[in-house]
Amino acid sequence: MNLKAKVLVALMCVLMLSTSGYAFRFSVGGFGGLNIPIAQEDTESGTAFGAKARIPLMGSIAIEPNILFAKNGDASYDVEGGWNETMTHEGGKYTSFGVDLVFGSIMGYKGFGAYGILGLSSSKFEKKGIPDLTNGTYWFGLGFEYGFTDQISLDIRGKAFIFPYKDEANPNSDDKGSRKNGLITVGLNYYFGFTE
Amino acid sequence: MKNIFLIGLRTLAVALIAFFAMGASCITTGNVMVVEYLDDLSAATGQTITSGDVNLEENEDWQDHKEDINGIDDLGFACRITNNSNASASGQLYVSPNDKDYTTEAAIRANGILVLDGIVVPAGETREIKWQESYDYLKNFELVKEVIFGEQFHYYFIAAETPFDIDVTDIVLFMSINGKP
Repeated sequence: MNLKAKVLVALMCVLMLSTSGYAFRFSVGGFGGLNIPIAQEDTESGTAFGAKARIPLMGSIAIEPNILFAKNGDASYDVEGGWNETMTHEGGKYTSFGVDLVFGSIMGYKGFGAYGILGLSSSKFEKKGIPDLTNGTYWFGLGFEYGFTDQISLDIRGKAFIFPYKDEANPNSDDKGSRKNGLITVGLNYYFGFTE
Repeated sequence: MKNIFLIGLRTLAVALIAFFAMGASCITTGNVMVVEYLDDLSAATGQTITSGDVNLEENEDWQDHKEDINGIDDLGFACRITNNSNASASGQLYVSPNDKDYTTEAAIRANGILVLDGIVVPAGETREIKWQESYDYLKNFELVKEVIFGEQFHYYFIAAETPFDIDVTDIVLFMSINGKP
């Protein structure tokens, strides 16, 4: 994909997401939950936790710089032959630094809100015995938030992430593969700033 | 409710645009376990060493995904090594491509690709290496993958010290391949 096409895609995304409105409220928060592998036989569900900050951009669009630590659970396999036992191997872990684009009810006032999430991050995948992989990662999902007050809210998010990579040792394919995971997290946020 | 639906729809639309930009293979792939049970081996100093042979064309799981494999994400082993000598031995697993079969210890050390190294087995004892533990000894991950992509290859167990006399049984190769699940 050339640069012009990438800029066009980015512009389309912003135009599709933007709505009117005005306020300027920041938030900081932490979250934790489950990391669920999607179509991966070599790992199981694990835990995830991290921190994020929300910075409003325009109308109902904000960006969220974030850091995430996610683990996959151990894989298991029923080994036959002379073993007849279940063996395990660690599933690996991700460390991710990224920015999410959040659109919808982003101001965090008292009451219920919902928003969409699209993100990019730089992620490192580490697993014992194999070289570390560091790549750009894509995110998308939905968030639901309930403000107990105008300052404090609880959110529940479902996000999927795609960690693409290419195996340079494979002589038969130029295609990229990917690892995909779903995150379900609960977060606590504190809002500050000013409103219209 | 209408708002949530609209937000979901917008997210999906933008995610789809991003997905098409990434390429279809990146989206549709998953990780599949392929496990190959290998023949037992014996090796001793001064004897002709016979390699074990792997032919992944006979592995049903590999064949099922062969056309769509993007990569090998992970390699692991399990085995039982018996040290028949009266000195401790450090077990080593080597592999070589199908067109290069070695029969001497010197040739294996000089030309084979070292996969597992440093598995210490005391004199007269048997040591079990299971899937997770094998990663403590794994070497040359990228080179070994290139050999495996050839589908047919040889493997050899020897010891780092000489003289040695070892039997290796219940050898299992674990692979996580990335392709269409």
